[in-house]
Amino acid sequence: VLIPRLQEEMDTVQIIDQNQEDERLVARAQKGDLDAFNRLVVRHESALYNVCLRLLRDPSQAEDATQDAFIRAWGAIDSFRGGQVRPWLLRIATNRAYDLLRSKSRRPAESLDSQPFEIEPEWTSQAPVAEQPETFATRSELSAHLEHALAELPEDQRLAIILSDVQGYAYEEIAEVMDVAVGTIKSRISRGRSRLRAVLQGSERDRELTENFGRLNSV
Amino acid sequence: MITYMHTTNHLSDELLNSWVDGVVTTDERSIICTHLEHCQLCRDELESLRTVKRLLSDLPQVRLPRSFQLTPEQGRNRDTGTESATYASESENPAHVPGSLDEVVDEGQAIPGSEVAVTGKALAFPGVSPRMLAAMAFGLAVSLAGLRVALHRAGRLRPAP
Repeated sequence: VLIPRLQEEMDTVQIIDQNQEDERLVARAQKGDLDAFNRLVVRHESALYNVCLRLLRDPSQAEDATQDAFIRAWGAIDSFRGGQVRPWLLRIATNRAYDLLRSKSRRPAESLDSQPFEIEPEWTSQAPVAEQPETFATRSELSAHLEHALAELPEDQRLAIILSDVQGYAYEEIAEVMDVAVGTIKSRISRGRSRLRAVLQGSERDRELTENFGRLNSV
Repeated sequence: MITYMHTTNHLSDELLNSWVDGVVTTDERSIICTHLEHCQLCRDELESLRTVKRLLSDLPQVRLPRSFQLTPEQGRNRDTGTESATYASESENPAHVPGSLDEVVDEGQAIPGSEVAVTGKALAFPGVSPRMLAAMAFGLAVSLAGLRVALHRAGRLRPAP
């Protein structure tokens, strides 16, 4: 009982330290220190890029959205009024991603670059350490199906699920990113996760894989 | 508020998902524990939701294709004026996710991100200077005063006793 609680307290201390460092860097950036801002970029670029990539499913557009988000954040750093930096940056990035998604959806269907981009083989081939080959194979196949199912979710549920389950952020931070109440986030996550479960239970093969995955992980 | 039970007398998905995320109240915890003790169906549902969450959390973080640090040229383009601080387009507001029912207009912290402004400046009249606006307001006030006098003379507007 004590070890998880200790771990939780250490995590909290670490988060407070990270927030304080972010605040220091923002204060310097607001005085025009580009190096300080670039340290913020290094601290958060992975989060922004990963969220944009899973929203857009297009590495090139995810790069554009991420870069553009940081340029806009630098331009508007004076308007940052305190609080956590990461949700503020994520809001800018997800707004850009949505702009790109909308402009993509307005493009004619016959456009050459309107073809869907398949990314799951590269994503799912990175095995966690010390995983049994059978577990890895099952997880890889299920993950590939899950990536597809994730892309089919309504946008509000998809972003909530990406931030919650893929990125592991707390409800409060997600609420800040999406600018809605925590209760709304709870509801979006629930609806999104239930839909994904329905997809995984929709085919015989996925049901078999899910059961196998559950069995392998309970051993 | 969370609906505890489906119409089929099983735990609702929202409650099960809250349990998976560890964000249930003491009352909810008690309801869930009591129900799960005798309901295999809800235990299976719970397990499948846990599996989905676990699979999602196992999705790997993609390596960055490059650094996104700003170059000195990009840094020179810093806009310290009010443009970037007063923008807000439909798409700029993250609450405005297409298809969502709970659209909220953000009037809080400025988030840069879009080309079309809908706050502040957009509400002003384009091409009309403050001086012209003041003249128009004065003209309107004079007209209203004239109308009041005309009504008074016509006996429609009686002075207060």
